Amino acid sequence: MTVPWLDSRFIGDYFGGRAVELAGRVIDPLYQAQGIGSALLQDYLSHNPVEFITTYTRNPAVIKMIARTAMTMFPLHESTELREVALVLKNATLLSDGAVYHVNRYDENGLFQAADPADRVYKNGTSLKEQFVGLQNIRSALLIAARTRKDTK
Amino acid sequence: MNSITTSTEHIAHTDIEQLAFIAARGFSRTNDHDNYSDTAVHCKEADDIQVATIDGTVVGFALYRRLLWR
Repeated sequence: MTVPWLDSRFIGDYFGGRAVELAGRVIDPLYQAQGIGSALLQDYLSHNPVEFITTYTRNPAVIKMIARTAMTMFPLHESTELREVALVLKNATLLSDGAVYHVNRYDENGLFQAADPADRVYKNGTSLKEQFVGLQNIRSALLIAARTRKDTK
Repeated sequence: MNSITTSTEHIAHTDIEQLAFIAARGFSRTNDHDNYSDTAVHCKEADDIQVATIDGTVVGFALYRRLLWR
């Protein structure tokens, strides 16, 4: 697969429309864990069908949300194709754990002023920070690249 | 829950104030000028925005950037 370049620039449907970056998502804490984020993403993809969705995150809730719309998702699933997608995103750095990060994306306090969601138990009793060691730097974000499911388009 | 999706070009100052309020709550920040500015910058850099409401109250939002394939 050849992925010559991905850039964050509006191009409508004429040249592209193959990939979209979830550039931000905030749910009021009073309404979290009610599926609102997932509903928003599925609604967006139903009107904007793309092959790939990407994001920068250190929040396992965002990863789980994207997983509901994805066939495969790097780095949760090993995929040469999706790693290539992640590596052409802006500020992408491949670290020794095999995942791709934006190192020092956030300021010295990190994105979250209070509890870092990367500390929460994510899978098999381990936190996202334990699974992807690049997140031990609170200034860094994990790059996610997912191939969307056809039934979300 | 209802949602609307629109281009970020159509976001007004009052809309950003509501989004900044949600961002401050979501990221446990003070809803000050810096939070407003940060929210405004993120909106400006995005192409599309979705806003979720319940009973007319904004409860969340999502920002999207379309990626150019060339």
